[in-house]
Amino acid sequence: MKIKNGFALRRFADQWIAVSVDELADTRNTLITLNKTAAFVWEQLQTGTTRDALITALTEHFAVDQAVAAADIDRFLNEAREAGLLDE
Amino acid sequence: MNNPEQLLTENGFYAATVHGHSMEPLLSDHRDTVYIEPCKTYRKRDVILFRRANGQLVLHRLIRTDGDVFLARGDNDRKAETVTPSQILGVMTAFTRNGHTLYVTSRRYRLYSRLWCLSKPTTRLLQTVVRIGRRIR
Repeated sequence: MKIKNGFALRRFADQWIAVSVDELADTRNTLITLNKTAAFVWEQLQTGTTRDALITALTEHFAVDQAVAAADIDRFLNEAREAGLLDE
Repeated sequence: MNNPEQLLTENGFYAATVHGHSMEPLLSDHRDTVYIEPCKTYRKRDVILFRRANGQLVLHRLIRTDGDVFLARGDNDRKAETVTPSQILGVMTAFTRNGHTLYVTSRRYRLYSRLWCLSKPTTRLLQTVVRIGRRIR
């Protein structure tokens, strides 16, 4: 699975933002604010990965246990799926 | 809805990808992102996000701020246009250029914006140099 094309992940000070590259800003523009963990997951999903690989990456990077990481990943993936941001 | 005015009020910031060539060589079309924050006072050299009477959203630089009506122009444009403070949504406080984040408080950026707000002949000379440079590349 992978995050759909057409987004750029940007960092401004302590804020992580994913912005649409192609949408014109005149009326609406997809702008997603992310926390540090979500930005890390988003980054992994830019190149294509699996749920299991995401959980492993999260446990290694943030020193959290498997169950916590799995819950976080599932929540992120569900939200991204609902928003139509995932290519599976 | 997800419009800039609403996001600026609710979140205190707005970010979008640049579309168009008017702010080159600083900001490139479909590549760079700008970070906008609401502002109450404006200064010469500020890059502002404003709405034209026809509804179009524009990101240009203020080149004159004395009086009630300001003048704004794209770094790559020759013609300036008038802007009233009520048309302005916010000021660019940071941007990404080729993926790297830069803040308007940085020395490098301040030098660039000073150069770009010098006299008209100097600005035109800079624009020509940039255009020639791009052709050679």
